[in-house]
Amino acid sequence: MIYYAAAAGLFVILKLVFSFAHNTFFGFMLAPVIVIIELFTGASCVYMPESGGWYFGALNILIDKSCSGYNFWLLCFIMISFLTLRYFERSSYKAPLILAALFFSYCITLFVNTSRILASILIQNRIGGFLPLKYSALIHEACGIATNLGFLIIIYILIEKFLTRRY
Amino acid sequence: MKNLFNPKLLFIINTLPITVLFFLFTSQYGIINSLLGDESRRLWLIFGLLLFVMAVLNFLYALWLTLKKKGVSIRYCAAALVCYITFIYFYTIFMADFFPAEVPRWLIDEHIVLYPGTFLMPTIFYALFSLAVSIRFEPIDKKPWKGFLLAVAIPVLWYLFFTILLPLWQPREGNFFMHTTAVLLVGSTVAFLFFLIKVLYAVISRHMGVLRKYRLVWLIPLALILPLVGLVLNNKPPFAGGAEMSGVFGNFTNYWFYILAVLNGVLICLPNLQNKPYRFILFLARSITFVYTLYFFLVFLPFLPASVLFIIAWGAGFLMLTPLLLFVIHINILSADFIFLKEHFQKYSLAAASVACFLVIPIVITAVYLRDRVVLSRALEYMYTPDYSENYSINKSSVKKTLMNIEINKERRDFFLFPAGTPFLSSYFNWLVLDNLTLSDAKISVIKAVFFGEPFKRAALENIRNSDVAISKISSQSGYDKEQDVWRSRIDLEITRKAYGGARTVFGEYATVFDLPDGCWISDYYLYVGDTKEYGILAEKKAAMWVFGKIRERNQDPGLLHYLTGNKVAFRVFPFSAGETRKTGIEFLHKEPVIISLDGHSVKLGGETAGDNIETEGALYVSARQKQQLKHVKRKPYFHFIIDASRDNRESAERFADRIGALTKKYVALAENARISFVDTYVYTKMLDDNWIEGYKSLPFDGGFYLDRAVRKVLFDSYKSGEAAYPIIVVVTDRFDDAVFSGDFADFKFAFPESDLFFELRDSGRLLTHSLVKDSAPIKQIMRLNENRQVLEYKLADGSIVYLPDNNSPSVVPKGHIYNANEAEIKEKSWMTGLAMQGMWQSQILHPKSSLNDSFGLIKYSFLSKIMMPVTSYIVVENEAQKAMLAKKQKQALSSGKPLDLDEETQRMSEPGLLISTLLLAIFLRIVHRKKKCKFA
Repeated sequence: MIYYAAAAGLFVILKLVFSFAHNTFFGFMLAPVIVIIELFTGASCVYMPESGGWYFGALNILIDKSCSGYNFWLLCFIMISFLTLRYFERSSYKAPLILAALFFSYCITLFVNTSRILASILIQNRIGGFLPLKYSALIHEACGIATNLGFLIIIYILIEKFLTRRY
Repeated sequence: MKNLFNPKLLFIINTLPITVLFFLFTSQYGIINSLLGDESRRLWLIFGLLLFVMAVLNFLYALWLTLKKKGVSIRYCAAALVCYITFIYFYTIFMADFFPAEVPRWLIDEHIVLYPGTFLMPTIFYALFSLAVSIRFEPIDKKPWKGFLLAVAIPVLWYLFFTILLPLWQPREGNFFMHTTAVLLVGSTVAFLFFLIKVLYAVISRHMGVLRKYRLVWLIPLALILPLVGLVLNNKPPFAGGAEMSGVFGNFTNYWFYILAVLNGVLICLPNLQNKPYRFILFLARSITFVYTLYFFLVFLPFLPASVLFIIAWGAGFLMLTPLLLFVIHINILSADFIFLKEHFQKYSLAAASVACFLVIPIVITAVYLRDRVVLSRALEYMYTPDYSENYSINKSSVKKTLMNIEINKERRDFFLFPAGTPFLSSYFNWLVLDNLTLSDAKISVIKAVFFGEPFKRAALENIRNSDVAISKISSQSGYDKEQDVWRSRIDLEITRKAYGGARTVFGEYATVFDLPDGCWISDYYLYVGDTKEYGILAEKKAAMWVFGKIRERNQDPGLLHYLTGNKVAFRVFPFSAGETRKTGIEFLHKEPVIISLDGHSVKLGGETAGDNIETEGALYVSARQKQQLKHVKRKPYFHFIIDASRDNRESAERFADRIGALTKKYVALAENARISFVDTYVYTKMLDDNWIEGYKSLPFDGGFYLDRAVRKVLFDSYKSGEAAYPIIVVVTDRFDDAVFSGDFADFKFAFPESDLFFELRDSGRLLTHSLVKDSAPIKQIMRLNENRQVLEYKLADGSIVYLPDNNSPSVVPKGHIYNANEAEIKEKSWMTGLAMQGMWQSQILHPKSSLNDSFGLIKYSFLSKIMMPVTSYIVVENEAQKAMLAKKQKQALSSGKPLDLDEETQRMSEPGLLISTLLLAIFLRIVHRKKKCKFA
């Protein structure tokens, strides 16, 4: 039980960190994403201190801490932790397991967050032309939810299957 | 059959299409609303409400059934069939009132008449199918041939009616006959389809064993022969290809349609053996080609109600029903495969594999289109927004394929009922590759000329000026703006068309071109429409010109002002009836006194001011007065030869070398540091030496002679180098008229202060002059080049030097680097803003690629400052509908690019909130756990 509490505690602490941390703190999550987006779209970005984010002029998008995938990371982390903790009996495994879940979910987050942003850019570019601007945010939100939830479900199913077969 | 009555189907076939239909019609209504009369508006409202009520009732019904876990009832199907057919019928009857003649056709979406048919057809077809399979009709159920006879009798009777009875018919006055025929035709079509479905269903249900035993006897014709015959008949003659060829129902000339038709037919006909690996592979392959079957099913769905007419009019019209039958057969075969395979594989894995295979063809098509998009953007970038310092290499065969695709997909047809291009795919192509814009024929022709050396026809100079329309009164007034230290002047014009009746056209147009001096900008424009003084709207140039053209077709009242090249401004007013006088006026913003020459009338505006030089971050303004104090210098001239290396010039090397040799001997001083550019699709520049001929001979000689790019590149390099030397451009070619160039280089005027001329070196060593600023300037032969031209030297704040023409006019020159003005500096009708924007524009001339996105910034700044720039136009339109259309076109034109700055339209790529994500994940986990519990229970 204590390990579940530890994972939940870590979740809460990390969430609090999000509220108080400056944009530059999220560099470890944003930098890889920005590099990949630059690579895929061919667009370059500049850091804009006044808005605290990276602005892609050619795409007219801004990436700041709210786009870092931090929420997804936390959610993915807590889901993986709770899912895996059930399958391991030995206490000595459990603490490293939580840390491994943190790292593993970080890696997944980089991939998922990049996919989400790329999908949003693509959809925005395609649909933006014939839909009123006010719907853009809605489309973006829907696209984000679909991507994040879709990946969370896939991860859940895969881990569950893997653990069920193995243990 | 249970699935057929699943109420969730109604959400897909009814709610979803009607929502889209609503969206499309609302958008259309928004544009033409102001032009509609009360009657038409009421009609729109009634039909809109009717559709809304029907859609809501459907939705509620489907929702209720879903919650109650009940199936769709037959009564609903009958009601839906009657209601939606009636709706479409009345929509067709009232079509003329929906879109009255007062509404210009260009304001109406060309496909709008087909939309109700397309979006309501799924519900109608569903209802008809459900009724046909559910209603028991003893005579046909027992003896299906009777039903078949009934079905066949319907087109036969209509045929007899149209060929024998109709010519003898003496119609009475009124619409009774028309309505009766239409109602009967619709009714009999429904009956025809009803009997046909019923017969097929009865035959399939009763004789399943026989049908299975002799499946190839009916399957080969249906799945293989008829689709091929259909394609051949549609495309007549087959495999012809090309944009000119297009069948009745669309352009299916691409050979892949035939390959897929054969492949799909063979796969459907293959036996369904009880062998697991064989069946699995067959299932996947059939899933891949199912998209082909579905495609043709969707293409022919809107034509279903017309099937009877087609069968009457055209014997082979029954082929239209093949996609429908094939669709049903393909689904049956797939489900049989699925039922067999699910005994051996996991059901979800099978479904996932099937979906993945289904997506193969769409993904391949998308990939091909995306490749077209990339190739096209690269080719367009090279042509229209290049980086002059970059060396380009573009895959020419890809460009060729892409252009062919574009030509096929941009095909249009006059008869609205039949689709142009390839149904759905053309729209998808236009959306994905062209962003729903078009690539004009002119642009396609230029790209072909540049990349493949195809004949290039330079656009003829527009000569629409009517000789009987002229300025009858001209006056001006200038006001000094102390705060800005500038003049704000206005020229008021009265333009009159002669009253005599010898005019060639009913409506006359006034059109003229005038030069704006450097440092003078247009800041307002008005035109009287009737008694109302309408002020011009500043709009994106392409959108404004499109709208102007369309309004002109309708003989309504537009006025237009826009830049041509350099400082040339075109001014047009339309229409003028005989003897009519119209009033219009233009406001100018200028620093020094200027003279504007309008159609032979010279008007002096403003008075003396201090006339100081102004150097900003992006541009330099040097006043006429200050020019007198600048130092006169002579830069060292040198030859820059531009040699034609286009198609068919492989043998020209020696001839060109002789000409160049003779000229360099005559002008030894100009031959020092001379440069040479070999020009085909690309420009290869080097210093002129004795070995240049080797380099020339090694070229591929497979493109056009892209002179435009070569001259611009020479001017760009010369301006950027900042040297105290300047090029004398000499073009060496045998076919100057085939060279691809736009006409003039006035936008680059700041780069050639010494002279506006470039030269053509003819075979006998003769030098002919061409103007760099005027396309229409006469060509003269010269005996001796002037090597002693003077310019003015100006030292910028950073120590660099710019050279200005030695004349009595002010000059505006760019600083040379990429420059974007800051939005905070943009002020309404401010002269300094005009200078900043001019700097931006000139920066864009020098760096088209880097400033691709900034052109939208310049449009925005032009709107904010109300100062016209070369990317914008002042246009006066007559009414609200035209304004709405202008706004729509403008949005469309701007949507393919992005605005410059971070503003309210900038999209933050924020991820969804933690709360909503957690909630949704919790719901998912809850469902999973419930399922697990049920399993264990």
